[in-house]
Amino acid sequence: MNVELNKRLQAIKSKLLESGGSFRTISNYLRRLADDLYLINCSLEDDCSTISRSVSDSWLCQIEAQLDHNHKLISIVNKMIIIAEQGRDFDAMAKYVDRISEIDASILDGYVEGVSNRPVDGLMPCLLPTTLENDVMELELNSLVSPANWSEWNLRFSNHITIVNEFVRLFPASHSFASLPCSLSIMLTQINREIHEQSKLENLLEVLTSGQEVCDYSSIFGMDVILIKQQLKPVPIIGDEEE
Amino acid sequence: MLDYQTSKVEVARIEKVHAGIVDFLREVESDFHEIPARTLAMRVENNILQPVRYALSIIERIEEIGSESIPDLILQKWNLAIIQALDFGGVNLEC
Repeated sequence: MNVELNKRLQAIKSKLLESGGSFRTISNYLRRLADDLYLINCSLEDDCSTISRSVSDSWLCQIEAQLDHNHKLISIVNKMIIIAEQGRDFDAMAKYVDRISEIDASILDGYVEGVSNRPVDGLMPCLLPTTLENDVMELELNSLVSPANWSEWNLRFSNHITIVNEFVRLFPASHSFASLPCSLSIMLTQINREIHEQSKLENLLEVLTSGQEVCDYSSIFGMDVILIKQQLKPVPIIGDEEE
Repeated sequence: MLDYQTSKVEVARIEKVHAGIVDFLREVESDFHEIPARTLAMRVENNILQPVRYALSIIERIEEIGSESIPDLILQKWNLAIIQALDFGGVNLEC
């Protein structure tokens, strides 16, 4: 009986470790997103980017809490594995058995098939797709370089929206923080609309002033150039790069 | 949504008509009519020809970069300038 139990506990531990890795991936991603939102918020100074910073921070806190649950569950499972291996009785661990049973049921629920399971704290609702992990890794690598203009910021935020939309699919509506990625996705779309407008202003300014002196407002589009310059916000850059 | 191609043809026609009028007025050689004719030519040039030429330049820019690549604020302003050029041949003198 202990062999079967041990096998099951090992399987639970493996899924919990996998979940821990997924939560860390999401946590790392949210830190990158928070950095980008901070830079954009400093430049655009709009309400939407301010609120989205707050939402991404809330989500990060929730993910950290999930990681904490995950670590606790892993240590409980480890202890249970040792007890099972030594053939001692489970009386001392009786109070934890319910929680582990819940995890086990949730895993059997659909986790293995890749569909969302019943939400349990500390366990990812489903497996993190490899493509999503690769997208997050690529974005983290790209984050090492600050976008040089609004067009590049537009591209960066389009990638953020794609990734957040993928995360939305991972957390079923019954999950405690399922609404956070949804809200974040909506806000990022709105922010990206503003970034796209800035990118258009940047490109139009380039078209209207190409082949002219920097301060030449005597052309037919002189007033438009002034208007564009008033509307154009500074491109967000990482502080260290200014020096 | 403005039809920029049709607008361009119409604005170019307005520009040609008024440019012809300005040329005619500048060529008036008469002791009595010369000064009023040049004053009128200047007024037509400032109030009609310049806004019409501005509208024509706008249409050319929109055709060059595409209306979807122009910021909403600027596109609204430019569309208004084109409509004014089409409706009043430049500016609304009755305002």
